[in-house]
Formats: sequence, structure tokens, C-alpha cells
Amino acid sequence: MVFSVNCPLTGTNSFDNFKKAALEYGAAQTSEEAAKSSWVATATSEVYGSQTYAPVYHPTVTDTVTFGNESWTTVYESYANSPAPTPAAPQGVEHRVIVGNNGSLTFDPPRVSAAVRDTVVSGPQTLKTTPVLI
Amino acid sequence: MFAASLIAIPLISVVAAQQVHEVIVGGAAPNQISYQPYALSAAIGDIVRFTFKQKNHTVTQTSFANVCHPLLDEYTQKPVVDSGFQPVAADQTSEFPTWNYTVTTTEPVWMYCRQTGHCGQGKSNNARTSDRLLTAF
Repeated sequence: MVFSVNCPLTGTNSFDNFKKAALEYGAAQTSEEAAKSSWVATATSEVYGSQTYAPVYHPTVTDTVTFGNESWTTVYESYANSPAPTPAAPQGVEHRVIVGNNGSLTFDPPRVSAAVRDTVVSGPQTLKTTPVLI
Repeated sequence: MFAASLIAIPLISVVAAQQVHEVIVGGAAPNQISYQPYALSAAIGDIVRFTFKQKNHTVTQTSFANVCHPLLDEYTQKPVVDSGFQPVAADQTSEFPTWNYTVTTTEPVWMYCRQTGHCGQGKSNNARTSDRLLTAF
């Protein structure tokens, strides 16, 4: 169930496409739930001494990892919200943060989402282009 | 410059009117999980008044790129626009809760219901929205 104010009538970001994306998200969630319940149905409980714990969902994941020139297939068991087994990018991404922009006591942006190997650099976003006089 | 002033004049006249757009959220079957209407065009300063009917829904801003997830404020990491949950009992017939959203931009604003599972639900066999919007406006 989605809603929009001033959505374009046509084009890539039309309401139809927005709703389609929402329905696809819903379908993916439903199939994930189904996979989870079928996994739990066949799993055995963990027994530690006298304690018995319900099985925690950790499906077997097959993933192709590309790192630099190399590419290989890895199979592993993964709990929900586990970090990726290998870095997403070999070099990492550079996040630029402007400190005290225009004399203000702020960081801009105030937060970044960074992965392992990413670097956070202080400084302006782009200073490579020469100013153009209008 | 001349073209810009031509565009500005009709916009100003609409702002002065400050229209109120009514939207019904939820309700009896088969509209339990829906916004009616599900899309509208509004000018800056217009108010969209959401009336919450049966079930427990929210109106929360999302983005086109990350649909079904709240659009978070950069500083506070809280949803930018969120009505909060508005529970309405199945037998309630009057005094439905309302929540107003004031339109602040002419850019598209995307909303969803953050109740578990609601975002990805809905009728997909509707007539094309573009056709309906064209006839509605």
C-alpha cells in the first residue's frame, strides 16, 4: 500500500513503477518468509547439555565473489544481518566530509555509511573543475 | 527570465487557495490495505488530510530508490515524515483519527505504510494510474 503526491504520470518514476517496486518487495519478503519457515521445519534444535534452543535461521548461501582480477564461488552458511564474507570493493569507497563548511561548526554530511576498507576523507567533494565565469 | 515569471503566476494563485485533499487510509474490505486516492497532485502549501479507518496504518515517507523503507533524516536518523501508527478498531464508526501533511515541494513525494507486510500488498490489476490521473485532473 503506497501513496504519492505529485508523481509523474509517465516515465521511470511514475506511480505505476513505484507500486510495482513495492509489490516486488512484498513478493520477495513473502518468498523469504516461506523459505525461512521451510528451513525451520527441517532444522533440528540446538542442544547444549540440559538446555535446548530453537534453531536459528542460517541458510546456505552460494555467492560469486569478484575481487580484482579473480573470481570464485563460495558456499557458506549465513545468519541474518551477517557482514559480507569478503569486501564488496577491493579499493573501498572514498567518503568526503567537509568540516566547518562556511565557518559553521558542522560536518557535512553529518554521517556516512561505510564498509570495511572505505576511507573517510575531509575536504570538499569536487575541486577538480575550474570555475566558470558567467 | 520571462518564461520563469509566466510559470510563477499560476503557481502563486494556487498557493493562495490552499486546497485540502482528503485521503482515506484503510477501511472495510476490500479497501483495508489501501490509500484512496492513491495518488494526487497538489501545490505547495496544500494540505493532504489522511483519515485513518479500520486496521492499524501509518503514512510514512519513503523514496523511489529504496521503496518500503522510511526516508531518514540525515542528522536524527528518524523518518522525515511519519504519521505514527493510527489503530482503529474494526467496529469503530466515527471519530476516525486524522493526520495532516502540508505539501512543501512540487517534486514527487512517496509514501508507504510501515505496518509489517503492508507496503508490498495491494491490487496490482488496477487500471494504469496514468490513465486514471489524466481523467481525474
